[in-house]
Amino acid sequence: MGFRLPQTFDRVTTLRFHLSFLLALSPVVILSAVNHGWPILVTVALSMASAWACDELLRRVRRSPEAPDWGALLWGLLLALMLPAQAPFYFPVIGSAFAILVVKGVFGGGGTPWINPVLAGWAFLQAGWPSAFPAMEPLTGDHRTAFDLQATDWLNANVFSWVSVQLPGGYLDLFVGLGHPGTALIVESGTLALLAATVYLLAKGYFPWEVPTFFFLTFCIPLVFAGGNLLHQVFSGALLLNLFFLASDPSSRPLSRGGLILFASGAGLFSFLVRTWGVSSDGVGYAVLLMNLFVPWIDRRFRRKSLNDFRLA
Amino acid sequence: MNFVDIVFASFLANNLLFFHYFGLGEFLGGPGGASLGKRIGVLSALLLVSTLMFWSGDHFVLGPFHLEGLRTLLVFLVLAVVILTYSALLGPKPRTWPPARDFLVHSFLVGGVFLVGSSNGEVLAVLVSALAVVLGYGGALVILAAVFGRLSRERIPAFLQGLPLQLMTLGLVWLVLQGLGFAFSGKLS
Repeated sequence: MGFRLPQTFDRVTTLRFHLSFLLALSPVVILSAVNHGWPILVTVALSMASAWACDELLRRVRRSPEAPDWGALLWGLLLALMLPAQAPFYFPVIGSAFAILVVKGVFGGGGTPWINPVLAGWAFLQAGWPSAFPAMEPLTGDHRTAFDLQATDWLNANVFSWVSVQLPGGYLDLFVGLGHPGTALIVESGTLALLAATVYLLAKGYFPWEVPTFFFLTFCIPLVFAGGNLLHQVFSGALLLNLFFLASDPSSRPLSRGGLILFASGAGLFSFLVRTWGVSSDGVGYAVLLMNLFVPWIDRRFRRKSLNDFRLA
Repeated sequence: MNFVDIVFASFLANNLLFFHYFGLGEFLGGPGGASLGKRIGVLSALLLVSTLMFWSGDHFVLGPFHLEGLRTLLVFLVLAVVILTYSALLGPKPRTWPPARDFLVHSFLVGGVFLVGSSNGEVLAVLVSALAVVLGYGGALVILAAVFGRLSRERIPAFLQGLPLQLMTLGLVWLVLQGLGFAFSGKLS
């Protein structure tokens, strides 16, 4: 049996919370495996198994009395989704080991690391093997699948023609996750399933609405003013995964509503800057990590008033 | 390099605390004395003045007379003038500047002057660089002060407490800033 999350006030246990996320994200893995082949399943399995083994090792070394809550499995799965589809087998193992043993083991204290372990593991891998991570490529529509060709034509002829708008080619591939090269991130091939998982988890109330809302707004509004390609930016890379799953991680996000808004706004703004002026690989994860570093400061500034604040000196 | 690039370069890629004076541990025990805002404000003013003095000496004296070899001497001369100034303003042993931190402050000023002085840019670009250096330094201070405050409440294994934990924290923070700087690397020079 898991213990209660301090950030949620209903009867959701951490075990049920993590299980819901694992179930919701499993279609993403399946869809990605359909698009990229069975090696995706090996990468995901290695990442989850490594994370679980490292967490078990940590619990035994610490003689932790708490029962496992499957959080490590979720972290392993999220890390795997952030990896390139053709990542070598040691990537998920090293990334998971760094995330659990170093970040959770050293900085996690009672099991709630103040910096997102998944993103820290991803940053460690990217710092070590930067060339293995793909650069963001502009949407050219040169490698459209048959599905995109037919569906775009049908939509333009039967739907968008009513409002005198034409959908350019390539966007449906992007939305469904088809036609990505082998260097693309695993999560990019499961965008449709990821959105479905997000809807399910939002309906269950497992996300604070402030994080995705303000993250999305502070990313999109400057992007529109800067003349960026909004649909391409939103549906490519790991933006959606960061927006809904990693920035909303209960252990590394602020506690108060004001803090959540500031945190999400900063992450969105930095993501916009990285995506607009950066030329290397997708750096949205770094934007979330940077705001993770500010969380202790944000929590101090936006803490809830307690009786201690009103006591006489 | 435009001003936006300078700000990001100084905050992320050339952050003084993390990339030039990594390991000057006197400050790492946490904030104390003057408030963070006051310290950053005083540092900003000092850095701006010293940068302007250095740029003026370099631009109007060393350059025209081909005395570039004396640039380091000019840095120390400027630094001495600045320290004398704030000593005169705040007293020889000001309470707001504990002696243990003087070394860091001086290093920061020297590093800042070197950093922005070596660019040989226009005076406005140099001043923007100085402000951006302060931004990076201030951001690093805010992050470290808050993170160490949070770590003091965590259940950390005994063998990691103290300097090992501080160094590992610095390493993790460096990983993030360096990565974000890497993401901007196409624009930074």
